[in-house]
Amino acid sequence: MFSKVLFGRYVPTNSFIHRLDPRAKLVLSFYFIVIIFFANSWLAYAFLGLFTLVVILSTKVKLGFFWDGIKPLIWIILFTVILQMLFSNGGHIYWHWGIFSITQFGLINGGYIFCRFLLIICMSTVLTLTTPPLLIADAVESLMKPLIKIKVPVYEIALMLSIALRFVPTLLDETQKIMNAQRARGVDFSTGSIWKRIKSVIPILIPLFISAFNRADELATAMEARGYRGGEGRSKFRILQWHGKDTAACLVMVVVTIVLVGVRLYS
Amino acid sequence: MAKTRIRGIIYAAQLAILLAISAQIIIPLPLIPFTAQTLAVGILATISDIRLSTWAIGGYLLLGLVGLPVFAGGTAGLGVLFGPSGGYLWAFFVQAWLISLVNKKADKYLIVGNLVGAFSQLVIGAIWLKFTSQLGWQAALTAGITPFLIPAVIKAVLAALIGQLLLRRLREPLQLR
Repeated sequence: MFSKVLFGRYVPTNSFIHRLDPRAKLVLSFYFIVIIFFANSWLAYAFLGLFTLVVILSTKVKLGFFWDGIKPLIWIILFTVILQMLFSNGGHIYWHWGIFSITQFGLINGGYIFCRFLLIICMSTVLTLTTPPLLIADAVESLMKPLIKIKVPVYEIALMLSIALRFVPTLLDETQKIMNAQRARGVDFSTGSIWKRIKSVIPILIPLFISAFNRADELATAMEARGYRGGEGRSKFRILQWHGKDTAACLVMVVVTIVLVGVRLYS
Repeated sequence: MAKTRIRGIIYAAQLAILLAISAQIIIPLPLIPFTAQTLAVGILATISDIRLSTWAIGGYLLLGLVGLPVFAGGTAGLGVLFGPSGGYLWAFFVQAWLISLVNKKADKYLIVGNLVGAFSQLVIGAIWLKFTSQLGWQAALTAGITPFLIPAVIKAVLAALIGQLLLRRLREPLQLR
């Protein structure tokens, strides 16, 4: 159950998208999520869908990996779409029962929302499939740097993130051990009454918290003993570089925006 | 316990991972799976001060943002944070703040703070659901709150109990200076 968490979902294929600067990818995928909310016609969604498909194909990552990213979310999306269809009014009424009704507007809105979330998830999956977590973390730190001026402790946030990334495998290991230890004592996490199953979480969580505290104390003592002082002025092992292709990617997104605005104005 | 700032930051990192792990601990129940995630947020907010819980929750969301599948069901990325259910994740901040605030006023009754926090988390998640999915208020509140109410109450009670046990061991709440 935990093996997937270890490595993120990065799939190395060395495509054009892989080689883009992680900052460009992070900003552009965020930007895409924002402009998607401007789409309000089938034409706009078809255009954005086509664009997303081109991006997905150009990553050279097998489509199965994208499906793995979308699959766990598809139920939440379908759930909101069904809600949308059952509860909205307007247009021709196809079916009616109590407070529920399926109407023309409900169906159209449901379709729009389905497309919107599907595209958002596809694009954010492109980011996580083509960029290793450590590089995205570097990009986050680099993009947050201007916030130092308003006293946001950017270096410390980056330090926390890299410590967390470093210790995820350790704590997962610990969790697995604790669960096995409980199983060896006869705890069964999947059978028994509801209350019994819920109670079985307690003997996992308490040792987990305690061991995390102990580890934090040990690490803190080690770092304090070595006189560690924050990230300011420290040199970096991985240095991010902005290339021409990153600017090109931004220009492509500008074109996408212009087309989207055009479609909105003329429909 | 956290005497220096660096110690607090390390605690925040460890607590962020605990949130990530607890989101993957799922007890299969009929209808809605019971995850230990909101329970862990409750415990976290009960045992640490407002600043440390903010850092830890921020760290957890960042872990998901950089692509580790740490959100419920092994999901990750911007798409989850800004998807229909993203509000329940952002609302962890408010949940933790309210728990800390209420507990400061009435630390004999940790359950009260946890109930207030858990309920507000559901409300904010449902409001987010309403706006991102363009639902009506009735639909969003019915679907976004009611199914989770009973589990939320159970988790709030458990969080208060476990938090109490941990606090006794820690002697004083964890802090970030």
